[in-house]
Amino acid sequence: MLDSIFAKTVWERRRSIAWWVIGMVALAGLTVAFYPAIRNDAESFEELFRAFPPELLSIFGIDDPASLVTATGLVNSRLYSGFGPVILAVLGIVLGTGAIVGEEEAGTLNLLLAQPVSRAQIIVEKAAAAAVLVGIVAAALFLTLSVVNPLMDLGFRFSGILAANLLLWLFAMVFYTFTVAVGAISGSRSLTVGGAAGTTAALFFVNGLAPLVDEIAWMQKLTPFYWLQNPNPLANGFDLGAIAIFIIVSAVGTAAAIWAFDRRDIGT
Amino acid sequence: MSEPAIRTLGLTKFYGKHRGIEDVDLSVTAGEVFGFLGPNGAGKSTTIRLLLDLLRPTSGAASVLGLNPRTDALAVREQVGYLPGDLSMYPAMTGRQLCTYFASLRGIAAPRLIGPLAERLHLDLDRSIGDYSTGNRQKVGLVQAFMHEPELLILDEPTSGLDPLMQQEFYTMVDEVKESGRTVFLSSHLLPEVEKVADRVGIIRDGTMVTVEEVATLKRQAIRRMEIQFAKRTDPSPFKTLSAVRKVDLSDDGLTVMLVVEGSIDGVVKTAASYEVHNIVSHDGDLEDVFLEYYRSPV
Repeated sequence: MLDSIFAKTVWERRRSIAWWVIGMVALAGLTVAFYPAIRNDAESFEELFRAFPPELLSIFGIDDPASLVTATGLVNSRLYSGFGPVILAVLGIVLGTGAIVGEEEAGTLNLLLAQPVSRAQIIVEKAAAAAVLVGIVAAALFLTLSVVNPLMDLGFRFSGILAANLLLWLFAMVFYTFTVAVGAISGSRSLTVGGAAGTTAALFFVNGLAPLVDEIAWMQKLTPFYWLQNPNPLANGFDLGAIAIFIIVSAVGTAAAIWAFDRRDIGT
Repeated sequence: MSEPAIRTLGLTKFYGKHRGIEDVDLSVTAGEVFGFLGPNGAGKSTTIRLLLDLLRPTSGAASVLGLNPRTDALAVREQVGYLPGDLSMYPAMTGRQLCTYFASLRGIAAPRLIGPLAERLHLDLDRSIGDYSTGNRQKVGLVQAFMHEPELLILDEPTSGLDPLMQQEFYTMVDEVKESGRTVFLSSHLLPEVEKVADRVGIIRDGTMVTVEEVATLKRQAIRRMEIQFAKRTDPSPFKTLSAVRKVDLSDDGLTVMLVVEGSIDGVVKTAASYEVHNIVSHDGDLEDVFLEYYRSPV
């Protein structure tokens, strides 16, 4: 069972990942639970949403308040922009911090690196473990939506649900690999947590505000949030461009982490 | 002569401007037990971490079992058992889980030595590491260092936290490794410990090697620190004239004379006997500061 760094990393997160699954499923359940009420009284809800300031709606990835009264708009606004991605990004940061710099500061990296395993192998196996852990959360969301879709007559295509959660999974891995890279380069846990969380918050607000401010409009395309929500995979299915961007960024982040980690002192 | 188990040449490590170690030359013969002695912060752990490729030298070179710790890192670690001085392990794992995990990273599917080693050290392997006492954690650290019968054991302060009985068991384990022709490099800040197990002792202070000696030579020198508490204020000068006394200090209240003695304490006791003595304390442990002071100042 505990016969590899990969297996051990999944194993030690088994309980906490169950809580992430419960949280994500609950968020999905609560979101769709609102749908019948909104659909039955669409006009007054639309009026209500129009009363919100556009800045606020934009922060949550909502361009058109009218879209909120559709199942796609509602689920997108809660699960694939706004809360959902932030939760998955935080999961990526948590796992990414624990991977290298967390073990380093806890001191356990000393013993792990006394075994015949290379530093690159540690990073690769832990990334694979993180992909599985994040994948479990994304899969739980996928299953939840797949089950409630026919029950509540949401009208999603199966491929749309699959595409949206695939993209969400890769999106979280971008934050994971970014965090691992910061940790592998800096060797400081506080810097890693602060840097990753601060960057995520900045990206989140840039993505939300860029459409409203002409001067920074171009910056929106630099945020992973844009590439998660803009292709609208729930409605449009797989977006190869966004998928490729997330995979490439994650691969580059992992390569940078290996490069830096292999060159520095451990836990001094 | 066979390849030394450990060899360093001008090994130097600076942390920014702060010196870790400088110009450390070491040669540990294959098959010997080498004690690496020095006070805390002298650079013992820095040296060891350089040997294990956890740190990269600022300059100088090291070889372990004839291999380069950096370029042959995996080959080195396959043949080395390491116990870190600042031992941290995964608190959620049991001792058994941790040892079998590390064993499988070493490609040992069915590690047969974990059980017997734990038994020798009176360690219950099936409790969470987070629930272990410091001593039991240290035992887990020893089990994982010894379990694959490595060619070279690098042990950083191995007996810290062990009760005397277990320390004794550990010394026996070290003797067995030596008998089987393998090498042990252990650091300690306790001279008596090193005297007990090591063939040779290297002494490090403030990041530089002070000396390397045969243990037998050190034993003849038998340096110790004594404190003699008198009933009245006492003139310490009679002690200064004794040939065995290296250093004399008087406490602030003038009642206690603090001595560094080399060899027999006979003269000290006889001199003290002409006054009213309240107490005599002789420090056998933690002699390194005395010892190093001796080595620093030419006699």
